[in-house]
Amino acid sequence: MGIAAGIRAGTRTTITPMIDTLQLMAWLSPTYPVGGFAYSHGLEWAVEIGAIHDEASLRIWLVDVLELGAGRNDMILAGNAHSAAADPAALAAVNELALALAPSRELHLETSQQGRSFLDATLAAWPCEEMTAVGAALPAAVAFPVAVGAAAAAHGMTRLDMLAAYGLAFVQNLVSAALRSAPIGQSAGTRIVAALVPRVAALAGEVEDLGLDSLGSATLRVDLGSFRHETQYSRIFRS
Amino acid sequence: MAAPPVRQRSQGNVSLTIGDFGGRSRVRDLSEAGPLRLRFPNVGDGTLEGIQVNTAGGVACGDHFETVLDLHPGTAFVLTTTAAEKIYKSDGPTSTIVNRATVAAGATLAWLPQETILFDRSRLRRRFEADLAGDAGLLVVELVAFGRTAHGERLNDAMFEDVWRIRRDGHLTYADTLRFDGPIEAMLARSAICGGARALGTIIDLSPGAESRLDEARALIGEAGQEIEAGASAWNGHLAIRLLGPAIGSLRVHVARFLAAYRGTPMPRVWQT
Repeated sequence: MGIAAGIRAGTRTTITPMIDTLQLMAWLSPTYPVGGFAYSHGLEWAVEIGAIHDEASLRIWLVDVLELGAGRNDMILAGNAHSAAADPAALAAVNELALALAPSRELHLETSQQGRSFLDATLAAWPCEEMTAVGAALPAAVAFPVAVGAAAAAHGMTRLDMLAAYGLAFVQNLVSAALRSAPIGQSAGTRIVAALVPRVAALAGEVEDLGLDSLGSATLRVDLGSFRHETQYSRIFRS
Repeated sequence: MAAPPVRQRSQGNVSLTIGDFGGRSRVRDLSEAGPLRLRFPNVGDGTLEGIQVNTAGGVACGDHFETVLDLHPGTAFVLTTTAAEKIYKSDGPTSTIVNRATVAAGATLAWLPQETILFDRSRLRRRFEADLAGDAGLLVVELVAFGRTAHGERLNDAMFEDVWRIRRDGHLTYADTLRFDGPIEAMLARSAICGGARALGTIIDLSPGAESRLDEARALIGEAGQEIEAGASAWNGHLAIRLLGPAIGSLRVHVARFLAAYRGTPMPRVWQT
């Protein structure tokens, strides 16, 4: 049975999950047109003040942002958007909360610009009835994790796979930002990604069934740094 | 170090409605239960100011406190607290503090409590919810001391959750959930969390025109001296300021000085001691 036949038959053969995986890889790759390369999530400020200056300090910063900050919150939001994808009012409510949680002007821009771009690109390239309904349920401003979670559900992907892929993309984007702004080399960046992969997988499992009451962060200095980044003298990132 | 008082769990409730009486804001309804009380000092300039008193002297072991404010159209109210709120060591249960405010058209609420001091082994969940009419104003400040910094106290194991949900015309416009759970002392040291700071200040201004006061707020908050890190941002119609410092004492002084200048009026007298 060919790929097309497998999809036509609507069966969950070995081919269909593989297509889901490839689709997720495409959506969360740096080449997907959401402009993730332009955002550092406050990391550029941390480099500027010397809080991130080598491999160890970058790894500690990223683990906290992943597990006690936006990484975990985004994954909870994406998971809840996945559950709510077929319920327009519930999906809009998750999105409203996700946007209100953005802790600064630049972090609000980071999530809303990428969310809108992701939804538009995915509606155009992977249209389906369920995607159209997701697009109709959401307003002009869409939070990035909400767009990803809802699109994944619209295409029948599992929540756990989507969360793990989202978490890894989040980490990789910040490592990439660090390599471009701090005196940290490629191999150090790769080692950090390797060290964080098991943490991303564990976190995806931990948050898979968590509701919105479980949101919460401790990364106060990321928020404060994002405020300060607005007036930073030299900057290459939009956040 | 004095041992925290041994006592039963307490439940305190305050419910207050502010009405417009011929252009003056006055208390319309007030109910108080348990150890929570409100006092209304004569401020002299016509401002209606309320001072919340916790006669239990602190929060511990599953206490529940709830304050509900309802501001009628066109009214103005300033709420503060008589002293720092101490969150004592718990023998297990988590205490809860819930604050709710409804601010009607043209009304303004300044929520200016004194600092919250988290003791080691304290457990607190706090929730602040506000519903604002389109042109209502709200200014909130929260100061948190992670341990009694003057005593060198360290939070080796504690839980603090602070949930903020603010709606305007029924839509969520500002949300934040802060959660510290476990070995807070070790967390505070890390650069993405507090960078070694032990005191946190947050100021949110959701008054009409707040977003346009960003430059002014930045100038007033300044670089905040060598030891306090401060920053401001404005988006979606509101202004937010965060401050991190090594100790609550200096942070509190700095925040009070900022608020007096920013609001154009002295801080409530209880703040000045």
